[in-house]
Amino acid sequence: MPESAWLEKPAYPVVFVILLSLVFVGVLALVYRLNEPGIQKQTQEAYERAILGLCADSLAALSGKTAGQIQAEYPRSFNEYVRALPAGNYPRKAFEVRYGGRLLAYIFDITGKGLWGTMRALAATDQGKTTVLGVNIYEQMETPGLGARIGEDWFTGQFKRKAILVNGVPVKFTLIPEGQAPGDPTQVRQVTGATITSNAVIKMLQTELALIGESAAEVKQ
Amino acid sequence: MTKKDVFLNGAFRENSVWKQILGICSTLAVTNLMLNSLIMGLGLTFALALSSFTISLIRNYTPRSVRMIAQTLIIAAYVIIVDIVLKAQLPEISKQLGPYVGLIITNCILMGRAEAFASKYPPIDSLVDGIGAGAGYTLVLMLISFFRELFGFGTLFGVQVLGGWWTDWSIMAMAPSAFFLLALLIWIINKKYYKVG
Repeated sequence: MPESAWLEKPAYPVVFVILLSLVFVGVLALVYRLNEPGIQKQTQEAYERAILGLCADSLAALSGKTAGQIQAEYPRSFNEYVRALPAGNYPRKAFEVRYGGRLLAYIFDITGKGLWGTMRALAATDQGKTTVLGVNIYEQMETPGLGARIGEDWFTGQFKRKAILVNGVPVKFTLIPEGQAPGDPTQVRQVTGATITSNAVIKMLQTELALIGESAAEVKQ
Repeated sequence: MTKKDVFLNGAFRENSVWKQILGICSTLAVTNLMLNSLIMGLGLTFALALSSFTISLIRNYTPRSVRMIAQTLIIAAYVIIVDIVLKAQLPEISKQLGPYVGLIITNCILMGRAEAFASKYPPIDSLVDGIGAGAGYTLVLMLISFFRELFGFGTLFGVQVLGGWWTDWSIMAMAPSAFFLLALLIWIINKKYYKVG
């Protein structure tokens, strides 16, 4: 180290770390600003593709195309079949999916509490908003390798065509081991080692769809 | 030591993975596909080379008592830059690599090179050492991922190489296969080049 009285002072290490932090925070802020439009574009595209993925099967059944073709035709297919509903219609961000004027599904952007933080998911429902047609958990902070596996297709796929609410009352689900075949529709295979997170997904679906159902009933009245 | 020697030392003679057994976690985790391995290797090389350069540049002004905090801060900044650029330019790969890009910060190779080399030698030598060590790490990743992707999926860089007759070895897609391949690689290299055993 060069000899200097200032460098020998006890305050020097503190000043050094503060200055270094300031320089690198500035560099990071600049890099992020430069890349922000790209990140936002990619995030939006991933979000719209997730919405399209949830309704691709329903669209494929009517259009004569395969679900893969519909997804490959993004963004044209998204713009043609999916419409964002005006804010205020529902307590959550909502979309409707139509084919030739026929309503196929609603898609809601829902949130819930996971073990480590907030989970965000897209839930496709039938017209009554009580049966789930598909779920995509697009943001979560669960433990990698354990709870984070709620994003895997085998887990989210279990909720397809599952009634979440019956007459406004949440269906009571029971968790069964991951490797076990469900005996009835109220059984859900949990992620091994992540009981709290598995339950959190069920609770999120029930709470959020109940909330959406209540607001829809209020609108009718 | 010439720049060439510095590079060769970092990349081969003192290779971080097969000689120093560092950076094993990501070596096991991301080597199921060659493209992921290449991006991970390039990301680490970028972060390693530039952090070594920066640490070396300020080494004469870095108080010894806070040197490790400073090194971690510099490494973290470059890793976050890699993460931001991947998210903006290669979102699919960023998603597949998951937390492992962020975990470059805790990769022992970076702190190891910072302490062993960058904090003692001039900036250009440190940059070359970082590139060399990163290239050596990338080489190991590519070697392991070559076998894992080929036998696990029948593809190389996503291109189908083995025909329909090939039955994928599912164990190659899982982390334990990387354990076996890495152990095999370390054994062969030590036996052949370091005259061990």
